[in-house]
Amino acid sequence: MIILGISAFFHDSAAAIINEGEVIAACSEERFSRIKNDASFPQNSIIYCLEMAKINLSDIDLIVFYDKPLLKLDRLIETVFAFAPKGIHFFMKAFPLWAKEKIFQKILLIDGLKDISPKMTNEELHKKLLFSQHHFSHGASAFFSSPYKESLVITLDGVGEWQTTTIGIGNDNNYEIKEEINFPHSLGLLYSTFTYFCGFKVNSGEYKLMGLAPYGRARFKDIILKELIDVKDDGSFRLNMKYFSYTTSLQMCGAKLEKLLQVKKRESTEEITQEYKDLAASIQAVLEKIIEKIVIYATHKYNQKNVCLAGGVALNSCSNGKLIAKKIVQSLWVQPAAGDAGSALGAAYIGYYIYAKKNRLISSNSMKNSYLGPEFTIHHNNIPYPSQELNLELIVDELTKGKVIAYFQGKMEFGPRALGNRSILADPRNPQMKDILNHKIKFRESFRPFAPIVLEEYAHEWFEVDNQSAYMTNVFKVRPEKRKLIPAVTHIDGTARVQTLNKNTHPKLHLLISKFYDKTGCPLLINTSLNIKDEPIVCTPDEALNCFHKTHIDGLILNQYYLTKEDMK
Amino acid sequence: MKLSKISLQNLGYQFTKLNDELLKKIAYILLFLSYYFLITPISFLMKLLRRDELKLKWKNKKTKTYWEPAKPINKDSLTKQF
Repeated sequence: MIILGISAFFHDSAAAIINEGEVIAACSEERFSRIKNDASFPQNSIIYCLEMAKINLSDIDLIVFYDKPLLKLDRLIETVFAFAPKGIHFFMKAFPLWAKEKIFQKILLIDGLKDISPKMTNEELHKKLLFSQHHFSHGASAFFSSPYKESLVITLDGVGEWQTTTIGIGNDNNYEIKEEINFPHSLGLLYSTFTYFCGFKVNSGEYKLMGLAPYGRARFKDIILKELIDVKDDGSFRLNMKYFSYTTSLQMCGAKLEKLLQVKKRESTEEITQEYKDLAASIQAVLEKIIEKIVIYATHKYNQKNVCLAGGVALNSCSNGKLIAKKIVQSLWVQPAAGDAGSALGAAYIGYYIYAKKNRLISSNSMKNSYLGPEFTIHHNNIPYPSQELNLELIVDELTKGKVIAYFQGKMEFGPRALGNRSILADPRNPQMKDILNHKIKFRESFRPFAPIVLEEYAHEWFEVDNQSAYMTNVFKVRPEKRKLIPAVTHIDGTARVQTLNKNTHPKLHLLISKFYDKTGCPLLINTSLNIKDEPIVCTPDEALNCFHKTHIDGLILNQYYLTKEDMK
Repeated sequence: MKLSKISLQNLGYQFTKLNDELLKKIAYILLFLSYYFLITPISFLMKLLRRDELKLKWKNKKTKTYWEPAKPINKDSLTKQF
């Protein structure tokens, strides 16, 4: 049985395909369209998935969309009625959009699918098309890809149809949501409000706020807990909507929040002063506290030792790391594509396990290390610049000399992280490396940390990590005695978002880092995504060459070839 | 002959464009009016009836939890958009 999952029309459109419960391929549309967080119908991703499964669209048994559009409309209408006459701006903006296209999402889906397979009739497509629910898709993407037969499943994000937070139980081939918290009360939207308040972009700047938090003191924590959010002992919460304006306008908050916090909202071009660092620290502390409470409550109530997390908030690797460090969870699995893109995979799983009631396929590596995207064969003649055969000793030499090397290899990753196939690598021992990467290549804020990729067998010697952490979903403490040795990946609070690298899953990169270790005694490298600022991670060799050309990256590994900037002159 | 055909086409195009703009403006005016003369009175009525679908009442000290039981999702509900 082959099932296609689709997420689209909000942000991070994606498609995923599974065959008899096994993930064959998954990809975000932004990687093909080159539009960051692309929300359009994921035509390219679907075509890619079909190619990987070696089938036509007509061979697909079920097509599952990740949410229920009309339930979203229901929420929108209720919101307008609840806040009138305050929400005129929101109403005038949202309703024409819905009336014009969003209400007809089923038609848009059918039309999009017919573009891919014109011979298929509307009736055929209607029969195959199912609609999951937003948080159900999130939860399914985490549980059915997890190595657990039974687990607690917690989803946290901005908002789906109505739900913003859910607790569910996954057991074998079944998954059921037990409890929920609904819009407008949302941890994701609370965090996004502070993202907005601190001058970052909502839906993509949340990482920045998380990176900024360790520079601040959580001095606003009490006022947030007293005035903005009421948190019960079981982690359930309610927001004081007086201070939020996302229900009535296109802004997350207004003057009332400024007055409460005695801080002016920061504009994106303004300097990040200490008060914004303190705000970041405060909201991060509040978020971590609430998630801890939810996990403690749910694990006890449902007597579960395994926890699966999904939804955009589950990408908060600091919070995830605390759950492990404080031993609040015995075993944690975070869906690597925890955002809306991953819901495409969840939707496909729902078709297979919940709708078709198929037997569960449990694997320790269902996600195949997230290497689920396109792969390219590269011939020497196709590279428009002189290149040489890859020589790992030479690369190690270059890295130790402070050179920055782009690494393009094998299948592209699914999810927001570059996990070693579309990466930029550099020496983590170099204290200047963070600034070099920030100013010459990534052009991003200087406070944001870079992540290490470490040989799995040495990870525990350098980081306080018990098991493997293959997906960069958790932050761990760098062992105190090692912090000075790897300043470029040690954040100000002594942590790092670690990716452990297994020899069997990525032998080529493992060999490169092993050689670096042999020469330097350091079993890790900096690993950051191969992209230009505000662009999606590269997908094709041409895009890798373009990124290499436009930035100050010193060398580029394209599968078995190596190019340097000198070669390009 | 050719020139007048082009002029007519151009005129037709301008008219369609104007028509679209006009329709858009009418739609916005209707939306605006419906917001204040339909939605707002209903909203006030709902508030009078103490209907609170979004649970906006802040800090409910009587309750120990804000968790709500979730509606089960079954095979049948997967076929629907709502």
